[in-house]
Amino acid sequence: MRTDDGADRHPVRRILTLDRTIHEPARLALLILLASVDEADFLYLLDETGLSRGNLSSHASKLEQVGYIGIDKLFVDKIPRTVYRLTDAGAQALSDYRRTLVESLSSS
Amino acid sequence: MNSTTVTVDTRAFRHSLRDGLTDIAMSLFFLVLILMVANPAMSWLIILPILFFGRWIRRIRARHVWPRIGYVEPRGEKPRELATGIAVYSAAVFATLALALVIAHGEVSPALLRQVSPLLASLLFGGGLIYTAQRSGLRKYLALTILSLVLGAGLTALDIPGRYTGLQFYLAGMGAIMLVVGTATFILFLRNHPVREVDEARHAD
Repeated sequence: MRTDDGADRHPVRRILTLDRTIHEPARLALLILLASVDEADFLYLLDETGLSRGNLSSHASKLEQVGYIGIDKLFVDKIPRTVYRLTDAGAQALSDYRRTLVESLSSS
Repeated sequence: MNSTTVTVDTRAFRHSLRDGLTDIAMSLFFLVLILMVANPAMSWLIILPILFFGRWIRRIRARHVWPRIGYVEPRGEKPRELATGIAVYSAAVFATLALALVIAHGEVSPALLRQVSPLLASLLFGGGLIYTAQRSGLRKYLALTILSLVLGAGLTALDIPGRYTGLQFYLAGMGAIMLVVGTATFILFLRNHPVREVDEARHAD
């Protein structure tokens, strides 16, 4: 893939600069969900995304690795609860992704 | 806020009301208000819902609700905007009611305020119900708003003698309605949603 310094201003080539971590549909769905709530647990995300448990767990781990979501394992009334929330970096990345995609698509 | 965010927020907010526990908590709050109106010396009871209701509901949800449908904390309103909204709405209700009393009776006396207290309470509570209905998209809360207004207006029209007796009837009536609705919702919720504990921590193990 050839890139040049003007890629961020080129209407079509900007698409090539999209964050590929977010571009994956399952991860995008997770980020959109978490962007609209304060926090949610595994079961809620499972139902809302329709992903399998393994898929959800794996995509959430990837998002955590790049610092887009935070995962807290805590106990509420002695019951284990894994809670997910969007980080500031994740919110910024999602905002950048949305802007890049909208600008690129609207240029066609 | 775009339409996707609104939809996700609506679903999350509705999710947080699915178990009926909020309705039951409201009915208990009304019970506290009845006691306070009946005997102002019991006003200290207001600390009960403030300090404990949220904690009790959270414990019940941790045990009986979240293992069934999962947990989500909808985005909270910004405290400043929320306080401003409540203050503006309450001021508008008070001003409108005072204006209506002046037009109808030529004055705003303590006796008249006591008489219209059920209507005043129904309008104030109705504001909260309308907000809940709008944000959750649940028609149940629109029906409760109408019930609240009918009950408040009806008790005001009846002009029940006694010090704030009409207001106590309103609180008891709405409290009973919320208790029945909340309890029925909770029982149906438990029946229709089996425990599916699939916390990620357990899954990973």
